[in-house]
Amino acid sequence: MLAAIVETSKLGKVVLYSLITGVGISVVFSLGVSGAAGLIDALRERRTGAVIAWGVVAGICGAVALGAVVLGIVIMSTK
Amino acid sequence: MHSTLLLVIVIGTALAFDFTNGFHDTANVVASSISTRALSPRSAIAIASVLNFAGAFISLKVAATVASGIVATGKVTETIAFAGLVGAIAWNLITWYYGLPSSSSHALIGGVVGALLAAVGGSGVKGQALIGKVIIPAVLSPVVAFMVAGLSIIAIYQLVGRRKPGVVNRGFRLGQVLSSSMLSLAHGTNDAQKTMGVITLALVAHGSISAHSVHVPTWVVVTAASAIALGTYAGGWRIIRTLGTRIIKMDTAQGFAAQGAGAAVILASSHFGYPLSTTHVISGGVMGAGAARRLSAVRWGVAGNIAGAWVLTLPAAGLFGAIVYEIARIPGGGVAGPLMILALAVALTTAVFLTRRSRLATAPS
Repeated sequence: MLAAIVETSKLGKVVLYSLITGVGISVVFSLGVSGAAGLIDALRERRTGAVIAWGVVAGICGAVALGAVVLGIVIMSTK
Repeated sequence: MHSTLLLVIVIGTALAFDFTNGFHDTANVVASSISTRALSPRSAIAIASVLNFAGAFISLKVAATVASGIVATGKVTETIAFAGLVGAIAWNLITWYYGLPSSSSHALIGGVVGALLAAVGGSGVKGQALIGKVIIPAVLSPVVAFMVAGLSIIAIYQLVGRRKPGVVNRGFRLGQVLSSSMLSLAHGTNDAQKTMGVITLALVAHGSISAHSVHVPTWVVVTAASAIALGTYAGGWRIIRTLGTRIIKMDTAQGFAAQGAGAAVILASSHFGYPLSTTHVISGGVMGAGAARRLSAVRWGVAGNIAGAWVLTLPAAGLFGAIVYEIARIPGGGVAGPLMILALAVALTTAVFLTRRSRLATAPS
């Protein structure tokens, strides 16, 4: 009876999408923050290799987090 | 009987409800980004208003659920829509007066369903859909927000825990600009659509829209978006005055996790057409971000009150909706009943506001 009422598939997707986007964007953004912190340390210590590596991590993670948000809005707006 | 005056009254009442929805919920949306100083109050409120407006245009699936997913659209009259709205406003006023946490969304759905039950009985309500599309998502959504925020903050602390706090705080302040914006957008998306759904029901009852091809007209989207945005802006300035006394203390990473979790759950639910209580989802996110760090950081008493309000709001608003409908019928059909109730509602609302104001003014500080 309850199984027929509950939209298991749709609700499951809500839970799944919420977890993937909520936790996923948090993880990627945190990696970006960690990368930015590493970049600042590397700049202060003048370690060129580390500056490039942390800079790439910070840049990519920031771009991915922002891109995921934009993609989410585009998907929602698509009828 | 289709009355244009009655339709105008219903639309005006629905937009007033939408305005108070934005007014009431501004605190939930902007509080943590103001308290962590990620945004100045002026910027936070301006962003929240603009994005609440924009959010209303993203999707119409929640409006479709309210307009045709949970009630038999053809059986709703303008008086029923009006009674539902007044029932919801009455319940919101009572809970606001006594300081009880309540969901405007549940009150709105409860009010309309209650008035419909009083008018046409069980045949007007799609009972299974009401459970599947409203009640179960209402229970599930704050729990999911709690989980998402909890898992996020655990991951965040693992990833940045060894970094210098100054850099990390600056980073998450920037992140909060993004998460706060997403939360405002999500709020506008889900909450403005409920009002659109009720206005659409009234338009169907009036005969302006066919019950066989229910759609939300563009002017309804624009007016509902404007009402919630204006309400958010007006409510924001009230928050600024009480700043520092009501805001929850949390760090920037917790604020980011809580707002991000709230936005993710509300947007995902809106995409599938579930009308949620945004207040409860945001509360779930805040509690998840707090509990993952320290269980005692969460005010479990407040959580208990929210749970109590969950159980009460739908039936109580439904009862008010039914009572208002019965009163509206007393003078006979037409616009006389709703006009009488409107006059009574305005007088009662003013009295409640004045009483609460004087009570607050004389309360010991």
